[in-house]
Parts: sequence; structure tokens; C-alpha cells
Amino acid sequence: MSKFNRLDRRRWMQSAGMGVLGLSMSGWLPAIAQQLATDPRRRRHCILLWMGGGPSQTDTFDMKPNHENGGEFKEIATNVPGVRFSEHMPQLAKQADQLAIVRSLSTKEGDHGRGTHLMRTGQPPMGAVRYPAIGAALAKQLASPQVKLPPYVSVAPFRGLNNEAFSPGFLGPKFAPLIVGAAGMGETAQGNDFAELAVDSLAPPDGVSAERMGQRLELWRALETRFLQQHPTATIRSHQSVYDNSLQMIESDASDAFDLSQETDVVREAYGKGMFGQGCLLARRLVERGVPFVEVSLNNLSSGGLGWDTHANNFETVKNLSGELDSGWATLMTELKQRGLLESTTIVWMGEFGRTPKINGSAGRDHFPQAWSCVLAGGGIAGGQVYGKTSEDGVYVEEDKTSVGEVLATLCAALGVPPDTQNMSNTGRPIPIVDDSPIDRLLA
Amino acid sequence: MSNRNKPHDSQYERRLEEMLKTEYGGVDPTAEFRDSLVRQLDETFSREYFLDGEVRESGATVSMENTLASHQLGSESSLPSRTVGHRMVSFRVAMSMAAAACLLLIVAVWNSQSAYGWASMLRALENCEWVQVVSETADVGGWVSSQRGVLAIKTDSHVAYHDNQQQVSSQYFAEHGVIQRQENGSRGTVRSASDHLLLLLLDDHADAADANLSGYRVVSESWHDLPAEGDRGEAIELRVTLVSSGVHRKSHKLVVRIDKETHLPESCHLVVGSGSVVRSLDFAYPAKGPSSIFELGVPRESKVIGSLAELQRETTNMQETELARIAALPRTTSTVPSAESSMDANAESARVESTEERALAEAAVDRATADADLATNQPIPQRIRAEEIVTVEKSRSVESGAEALEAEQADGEPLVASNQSQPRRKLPAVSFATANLSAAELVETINLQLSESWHSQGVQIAESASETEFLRRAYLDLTGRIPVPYEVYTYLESDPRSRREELVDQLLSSRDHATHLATVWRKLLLPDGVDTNIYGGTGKFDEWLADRFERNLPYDQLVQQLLLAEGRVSDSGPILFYAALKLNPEELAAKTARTFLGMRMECAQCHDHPFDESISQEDFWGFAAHFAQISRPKGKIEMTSSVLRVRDNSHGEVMLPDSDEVVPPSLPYYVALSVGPELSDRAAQSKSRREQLVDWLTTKQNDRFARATVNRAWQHLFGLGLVEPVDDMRADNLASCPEVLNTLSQDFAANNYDIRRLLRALVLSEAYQLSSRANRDEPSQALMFARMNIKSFSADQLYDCIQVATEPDTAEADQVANGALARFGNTARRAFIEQFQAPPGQRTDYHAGIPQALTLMHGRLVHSATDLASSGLLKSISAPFFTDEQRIETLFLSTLSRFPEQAELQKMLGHVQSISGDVERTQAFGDILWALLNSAEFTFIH
Repeated sequence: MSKFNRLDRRRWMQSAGMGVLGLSMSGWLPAIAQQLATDPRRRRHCILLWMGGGPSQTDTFDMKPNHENGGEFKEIATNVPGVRFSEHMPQLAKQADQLAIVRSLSTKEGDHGRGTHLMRTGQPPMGAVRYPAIGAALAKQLASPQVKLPPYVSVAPFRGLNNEAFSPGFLGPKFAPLIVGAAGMGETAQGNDFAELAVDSLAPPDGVSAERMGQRLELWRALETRFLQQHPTATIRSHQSVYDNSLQMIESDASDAFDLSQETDVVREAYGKGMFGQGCLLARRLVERGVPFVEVSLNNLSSGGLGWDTHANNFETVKNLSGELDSGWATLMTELKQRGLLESTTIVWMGEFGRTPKINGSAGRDHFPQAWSCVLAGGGIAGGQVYGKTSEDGVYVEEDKTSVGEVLATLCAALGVPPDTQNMSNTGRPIPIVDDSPIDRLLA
Repeated sequence: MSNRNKPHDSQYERRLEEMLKTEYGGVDPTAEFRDSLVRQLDETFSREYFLDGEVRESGATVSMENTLASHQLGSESSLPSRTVGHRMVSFRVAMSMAAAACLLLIVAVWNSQSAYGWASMLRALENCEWVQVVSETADVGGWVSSQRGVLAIKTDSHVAYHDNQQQVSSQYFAEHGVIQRQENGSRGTVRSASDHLLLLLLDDHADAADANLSGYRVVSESWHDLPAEGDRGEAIELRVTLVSSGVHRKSHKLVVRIDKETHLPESCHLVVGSGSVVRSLDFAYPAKGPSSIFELGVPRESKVIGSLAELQRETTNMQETELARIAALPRTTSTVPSAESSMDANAESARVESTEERALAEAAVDRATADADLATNQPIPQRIRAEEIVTVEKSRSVESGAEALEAEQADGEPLVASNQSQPRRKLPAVSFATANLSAAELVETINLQLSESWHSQGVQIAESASETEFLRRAYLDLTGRIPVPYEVYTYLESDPRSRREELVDQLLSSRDHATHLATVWRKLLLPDGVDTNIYGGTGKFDEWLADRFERNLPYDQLVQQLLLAEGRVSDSGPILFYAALKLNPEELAAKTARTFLGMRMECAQCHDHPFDESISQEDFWGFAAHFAQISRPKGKIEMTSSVLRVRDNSHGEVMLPDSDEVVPPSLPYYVALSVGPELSDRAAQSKSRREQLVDWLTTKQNDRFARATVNRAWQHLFGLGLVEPVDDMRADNLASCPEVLNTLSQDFAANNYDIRRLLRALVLSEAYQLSSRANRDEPSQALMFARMNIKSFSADQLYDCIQVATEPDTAEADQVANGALARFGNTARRAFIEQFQAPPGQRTDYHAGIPQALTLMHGRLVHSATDLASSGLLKSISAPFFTDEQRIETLFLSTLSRFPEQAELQKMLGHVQSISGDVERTQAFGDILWALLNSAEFTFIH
């Protein structure tokens, strides 16, 4: 990272922007990218693109153009022969060689809350065990003490359906996600404005100057030091280190990550002006700074927290969502690749379940966990393939039926984390991150 | 952590197993001697002196037991128990003494690092030709020779002589003038007496599989030099704590005076929890000892008998019913297959005769305790219980002893225990010893037990907590909040001799205490992560609990009301327990077992319990079946209508997973042992399944109820439970200080499950009043409670304390109105709690991360608390008549409940004075308050 810091920030940003626009890059960036991508000590990252409400597989990655269930969207070819998906994701189609599309996901939870819990923790909600969100579990494994930012950042989550599914569970609040922009959830880009992202309590409250904050901290440190001397125990030390880490994050340029105004408008626009696009940009900035797990939710547009819950008017909604998804996701991959970070960053695209292949009377699709799709991309993933197959009408899985456990285990494996890594649960029983095996064909 | 004693334990068991294997080649060597007198010595001994680590005054015990025994026998028997009882007292003294000697010999496998120790003493004893034990007071004596394999005991009414080499046991009953002689056959290898004694005593609790060899273990020992005194020379004082293993452990403490040269004991004192010596024994090492029973003063012309039947013919004044009862005493011997198969007729008769002896020895006096002991002290698996019942039934079904023998040998198919079964297991398992402890004595007892344990473990004890440390801690633990400055002043100005007690009494009777305890208990009872809003929220549930805690309703009644709650789901209140657990039998069973029994039964949901062999999958589902017959919705709880009415109905069953096998309601084996036939009585009374469960759960026979609750209370106050994890109280998960747990749970049960009394004793104990300060981190100190553990605030506490400290001038301010916190139905509070909520049960760790720290540093709550415009505290100290020193003092008192030290005062004053301008200066106090609220000292209970 220090290499970047020595460069003129403005120039660097512009170059990045030019990359997005497909213009040729001036010399240094590919070189650094090359170096980063091959560094064996490089850190792994994960970006979860969370599709709240349950995205329609039939209108995105598992199209049925020759069947009445197929709907009105057309297929387009991608840069991988034989792999075709929705016409509304043209930029992604140019990077299909990075994507491993799983078309045979099959689960059993058709309720938003339960499905959210299942997909985000790998477990249906039941019993006494408080399962952590996969983000918290992976953050714990991938966190590095050198990184001043919290290991798990969640952009624009809608947690109302199942708060537990966004919680660190038995791993404790240390691995709770830092929430970004949750307050602005549901907003879309208005006119020319970019969606605003903000971290709760990152800056001192209004009216408290930096100078005053410094004085407060000096007083605080005197109290803290005295108490620690009298109580030299691990508990008190960890209190101090949490504060120290927070302060370092605030004081260092790590927190610059959240200041998207440092990016050029060209770049910001390329991601899309909405919460999701800006969230993807933030994800890139966080990954650049070493944050191991970032999730960006796409739930917005008209229907509150459940953007993809298209019981009615499916096609218009999905078309709009696909546009946001396409620019955000595709630009993210492009920029990560330019920086040599795509090789160490695994991307997952999923929601809580899929949608019925059959179109209902309101031109909508309903909840459908039986046969649906998710996508893995980037680091550790063998891109450019389709895994599994559904029937002609899309109702049944015909090949390679896949469970949520297998998807999450594959994600772990792609990140170099053994899926059976155990953590002690609140019930005193050691519990593996995922109790399932990775799908080898999906791994690079 | 949780298994800190375990390596110790398993090492011990491994050694025993090795010894058994090499010495006996897998053949159980103890069969022929199994029910002999020696085995009972220990039981008697334990019962009289050390029932669960408690002493009982002999006279009182006898009369109480007589009363109970007579009561129990009712019209069934006209046994003159009082006379028998009287006779037995002196006999039991002798037996106890001999048992003490045995105890000294049994644990020969112990290894010790110290120069003087239990092990070296045992070795010395084993090498003695003869060891003679003499009681200071009674005209009784005992002789043990390891080398000859002889154990002899003499009292004025009874003489026993056991010769292991000859395989003969003789006993003389002075009253009848008969010698009962048992020849145990020639089978088996000749062993030394100490080996036999060891194995016999271990066998006390062993189950049929012999997998869980248990017995007495040294849990702690220590020694120091004793200077010469009077005519006694220098010596070593060895303090040893022996504990029997098993679910209900008995503790034996011995203080032994040891000869420096020979390592032989000179005298031995049996010490009980309260530290008083209950018996003193002297040791002698004569060159010669008795070589037969006749050398112990038994008339050579005494009639020799060999069997129960013969003795019965001799004792014509015995009631037949009584004999039947005697024959009915359990015989764990028959449960060892290897012993069973090879047992010849002689051995069989010997066994039964010894049962008879035992009956003679104990008669009715002991029935109550004997039964109680049997019910609770022996972790016998279910299959054994079945056999036992068979034995009992068979024995009772025959008229006299002789026929009984033959019938028993035939041992046919199992009979089912019927309602006619004798009520031999009906009396409470709980010792009466602590029933009459005063509150002060209770505190004193646990103080002594803890200090003994610190002493023996060589743990350094922290200094005492200062007045303000204690004050803050007591407020936080008992009421969930810090004291306000006024309360600090009041406390410091009150009478130093009595103020701690007065404070604790005052806090325990406050509404804040009731609401705080309700919050603590709600977290135990309701699962995490269930949205309770659809059932009316937790407010009413908390209030329901708080009202009961405020009235100090006996805890068993509270639990009864909770578990038997009926009503609409939307009513909230106690029914929320059922609603939040989705009316699901498995979840209800799991929660009930965890909370009220300290057991993780749900680990056996899909297969037999992985760590606790005593819990099978059927046990779990049998337990869950008690919750099967309540009205519940079909399908998922999401579909539950909030108008659904919870009540008992007569249908609904649970089935083993992936099968159609219906599991009927049953209780875990140890439960069935303690209530036995009563269960079927209850079914006959057609009580609902929930009622059946609750009846059992809260009966005093179920001492797990008290133990689990005491452990929870301890954890609440000390950060860690006596047993950790608190909901995993298994036989092999030992308490860090078992005596304390025993004392407290017995006292809790004996005092009608008085929560307030329990908490009061804990808070006034020495351990609670120790400081949390340390020079360096010594984890063992904190684990043994020789230093106060530091506990994180719960999320609720953090929120409440910031409110209490800063008196925010907002809409939330009326939360502290009327002198009590409004904890329930407060949305700002709930949002804060959601962010800070830590996993339950790990209060000695700090769980927060960067997001939480940011909230505390920059968030709205602390900002409004430290902003002059909204902080009531800052406004109040801005009054002109305060000096800056007084203002800073008030800030410290409001947050840390103490005065600032001089250096701190100067530092803070320096800050204030460095600021110019009146408004800014006032703001400077906000800076100090900010630093205080963010400090570790504020954030922890210490």
C-alpha cells in the first residue's frame, strides 16, 4: 500500500478512471498489479454481493429463452463460448471468464427471514447455537492485526428480516460488521448526486473539535493507564487495545477509505450512482486497505429492503436492478483486476432464495428455494464455467444439486480457509465454519 | 478452564485401570468381599460425619433420623428403633474410626511431589506390621495390617475381624452373643489389605461396566512443620482433602500429624467444613496385633452362625417386615457380570449375610439417610437400576430370609416397579446438617471452606476490596447500576462495622434489584435472537419475574409458576417462555435442563450424549416428552397466532429423530433413582405431563435443581461458576471448590430455595469482598476466587450506568424517575443493547470491537451525556458555589464511585485551568466526563 501512497493521489485516481473507461493505462499500474497478484503473502479478501429479497435466476444467470417460463428478457453471448445470460448485464458478459455460475443451488427455506439466516450462516435458524454470519466467521480467519480497519464491513444492509443473520453470533461483538450507510438504505441516485455512504460514529460529534478530542484522549489515557497497572489482566488489556485500534483507524488514513469524494466522478459514475454502485466502489477501497470481508447489499429501488422480492412487476424491477448490479459488479472486478487484487479477492453473488420459474398473474415471480442460482467469481475460483443444470422449465435441478453448505465451503476453500476450521460456540461445543465439502470443480 | 481438574482426574483413573489390569488380569477381585463390612464402614462414616461435606451432631442426628424412620415405617413396623438407634451410635463411632483408618490406606495410588504427603504416609503405613487406631474418647479400637491383610474393629457391642489372606470375615454381635462367620472361598489372588480396601471402597460407586472406577481422590494436600510443643517433638502437619467422585461428591478433610522421620501418622483429626474437629484418632504401631476375633475379647464359646437365616432364627424378636426390608437393601454386587457368573453359593450367602449385618448395624436409625445416599450418591446407569428394582421386588415378595436367598439366586426376568414398592427412596436427599445454619454461619462456613481450598492449593489471596470498590461492585451486581454520589456519601458515613451488611440488605430489597435479577434471568430463560415483539415483547415477562423476585418468592415456586404457565401467547408474561421456545418440546426440554439442572441434555438429541455417558438419546426425548402435550400449532412458529392459548391437553408425543418410535415421558436415570415409584403414582393421579415434570424438578430429592441454581448465582456474582461451563454440570466436570457448592446448595434447598438468602451469603462472603487488583496476572488466583474476577458490563448495564451517571436531560430522563430504573419497554435502550450484546456466559472477557468503541467515543448516547446542553450532571456541577476540585470529585463519584487520587485531581484540574472562557471551561468538565465514561474502570465490574 505504501507504494500507492507515494504517488500523487489525483493522478492515480485519474489513471484508475481511465482504466475503467477502457483507455490504455499509463505504465505503472499493471506492473504493481502483476507484483501484487503473484505475491504469495498476499492477503485474501471476500466481497459478498447480497441480493436482498431473492433474485430471479430465470431473469439473470439461468435463462430459459425457449420456455414459457423464460419471460421477456433475451440471452446474450458472453466472452465464454456457450455461457449465456441476461441481456441486461452486458458488462458482466465481457467478464464471464471470471464467473463460475452455479445453476443447481437447492435449499429448503422459502421464508425471507429463515432463508436469509440459512444463506448467510449456512444454518437454518433453530436451537440454542447463535451461528455467526459467514462474514464474521471469515473475517475472524482472515483478519490481520496490521490492518487498522475492522475486518467485517457491511454496506447498506437491510437487517430487519433476520438480524441474527448479520450478527457475529457466538464469535462476539469483536467480529460484528461495521455498518456503512445503513441509514440511507432504500435511497437511489437522485439526479446527479451520488448516494451518500457514512459510517456510524466514525467522526466526533458536531461541536467537538479535533483538538478537544485530543485533550479528551489524553485524559482518558491517564485513567486507562492507571487502571491497567492495577489490573494487569487480559480483559483490561483487550479493552485498551480495542480503543487503541479504533483510534488508530480514525487517526490513520485508513478511514479515508470511507471518503468516496476522493475518487473522480468518472470512476464513481462507472460504478453507478446508487447505494450499490457506490458500495462496490467502497468495497474496492476497503479491500485495497486490507479489509478481509466486505458485503454490499443490493436491496434498494422502490420496494424498501427487499429489492429483489418481485412478486409483481418482475421484469421492470429486475431490469433496473440488473443495471445497477452490472455496472457496480463489473466495474468492481475490472478495478480489482487492474490492481492485482482480483486474484486474491473472491466475490459471491447470492440472495436468500430464487424465484419461481413460472410467472404469476401479476407478472411477478414468487419465492423459490428448490432450484436457483448463485455466482462465485475472482480469486480461487475457476471462472468461465457453469456448474449444474436445471430442467427445461427451470423447476428442477437436473445435474449437480448443490447445497448452501457446499457453496460456503467452496467460498472458504477459495479463500484458503479450511471450511472445517472450528470455533467454540456459545453452547460450549466447537462448531466448524461450514460443515460441508467444497466443490472441487469450482476451485481454481 | 472448564476442565481444569480433568487431567488430574483422568490420570488417576488411568492408573487405577492399569493397576486393575496388571494385578487382576481383568478378573474382578473384589467379588468375594464385595458387600463386606468394610465397604459399609465408609458409607456409615460418610453418613455420620461427611454427608456431602457436612458434619451432623450425633445426638441430634439420631433423634431426627429416628423420628423420620418411625414416621416412614408408619404402621408397617413396630420396630423399637430408638433402642436400636442408641446401640448403633457407639458402634458407628467405631466403624467411623476404622473407616478413617481405611481412608488412610485406600488411596495408595496417589503420587505427590512434596516431601511429606499423603502418598508417602500411605507407603509408610503399608510397611508397618500393625497399625492400631485408638479413639480419644470411646472404648473402641481398630487394627489394620496391610502385610497380613487383616482389618479388625472392636466396640463394646460389636467386634469384626476380617482376614483377607484366609478369606474369612467374622463378626461378633454382643447382644445376641453370636459370631457370624463368612468364608469367602479360595478363589482369587491373595491381596494385601490395603489393596482390597482400596478396591472395595472404589467399588462403592462403580457401575457394572467398571468403566467408571471412582473413589476417593486427594484433591488437595499441603504440609508444614510443627514445632516441638510440650512433650511432643517436632512433627509435620499434613492437611488433606479427599473427595469421592460421582455426581454427589463427599468431601473428607483430614489433618494428620506425621512423624518427621518415619512419615507415619501420629494422630489424625477429621475436620468438617466449619473448621471444627469432629473426631481425633491416635495411631500406634504395635509389633503384635490380634490374630483372631477371640483375641479381641470375644468369648470362645460364642455360637457361630453362617447365614442370614440362622441369624434370623437367633433373633426372634426381629420383625419379619424389618427383615424383608433388610434383604431388600440394594446389592450392587449382582450387577457385575464377571462376579455374578463365578459366584458360588458360599459367596452368595456371605453377601446376603453382610447385608444383614449392615441392617443390624444401622437398623431403622439410618434408613432415612441411607436411602437418601443411595438415591443421590451413586451414579448408576439405568440398566443397573432396573436390576436393583428387581432385587428389591423379589426380596420383598418372599416371607423370610432363607427363601429370599433362593429366590434371589434364581433371579428371573425383570419386574416392573409397582405402586406397592416400599417408599425407601422417598426421603429428601438433602442433608439436614445445614438446615439450621444461621445466615452468619452459612457465610462463615463457605469462608472457611474457601480459605481451606486456597490454603491447600497454595493460592495467594488478594487484598480486601476497599469500601468504594465493594460499594460499586455490590450495586452493580445486585441492582445492575452504579451508586449515585449521594449513595456513596451515605454509605461512607454509616457505621463501618455494619455498613456492608446493611447495604446488602438494603439493595436486596430494592426494586432495582428485582428488575435487574429479572433481566439476568430472562437472558437465561429466553433464547437469543428470537423476535419476541410478535408475542408482546419481553416487558411483561421481565415484570412478571421482577414482581416475584421482589416478593422473594421461593425459587421452586417461581419455577413452578413459570413452567406451568397457561394463557394466550399474546398475553406475554410467563407464557413468553413457551412462545419464545416455539412451544417446541425439544427446545423447551433443552432450556429447562440447562437452566434448572445445569445439564446439556440436548447434546443427546441426535445420539447418546457425547461427554456424559449417563444420558442417552432416549433420556433426552423422554425428558422432552413432558412438553409434548401442550397445545401447539402445526408447522412453523411463524404461523403461530398470537391468540393461541397454551394449555395442557392429552395428546401429542415425541418421537426419536428419523423414526416413528414414540418415546414416553421419563426422567434421566438419577432422577428415576431418586423418585422411583413415585413417578407411576403421579401418573395414576392423572397429573399433566408438565405437572409431573415440575413436581420432580422442584422436589428436594432432586438436588441438581439447587446445585444448578447456586452455580448460576455464583457465576452472576463472581464472573465464573463454581462449575464451568455453568450449564454443563457433569460428574467429571468438577467444581473448583466442591465443598462450597455442596454447602450452598444444601442450604438453599433447606431454606425453601430462598434466593435472597443465597445472594446475601455470597455477597457477604470473604471471597466476594476481595479486591480485583493484582500486581501481575495470575489466572489461577482468579479461577479459585482468591481474587475478584473482573466482569464486563452487560449491554444493559452499560446503558443504564451511563444514564445513572450523567442524568441526561432528555426524554429518557424519566427512566430514572421514582428512584428506580425503567428498564422495560425502552426503545433507545433496546437499540443500544442490540449493538453491544455479548454472547452469554463469558462475562470475564471483553467482547466489544471497533464499532462499539466508535459508538462510545462518538455516539449519541455519550455525546448527549457529556454535552452541557443535555447533561444533567454537567449542569448540576456548574453551580457557582462549587470549587473546581469539588466538581471533579463529583464527576469521579458519579462515574467511578470513588474520589479521585491526588495525581488524577491535578491532571484534571490542569485540563480545566488550561481552558479559557467560561463556556469552554464548563465544556472542559464534559471532556473529563467523556474520559471517565470511556475508561475501563467505568466499563467493568471490578
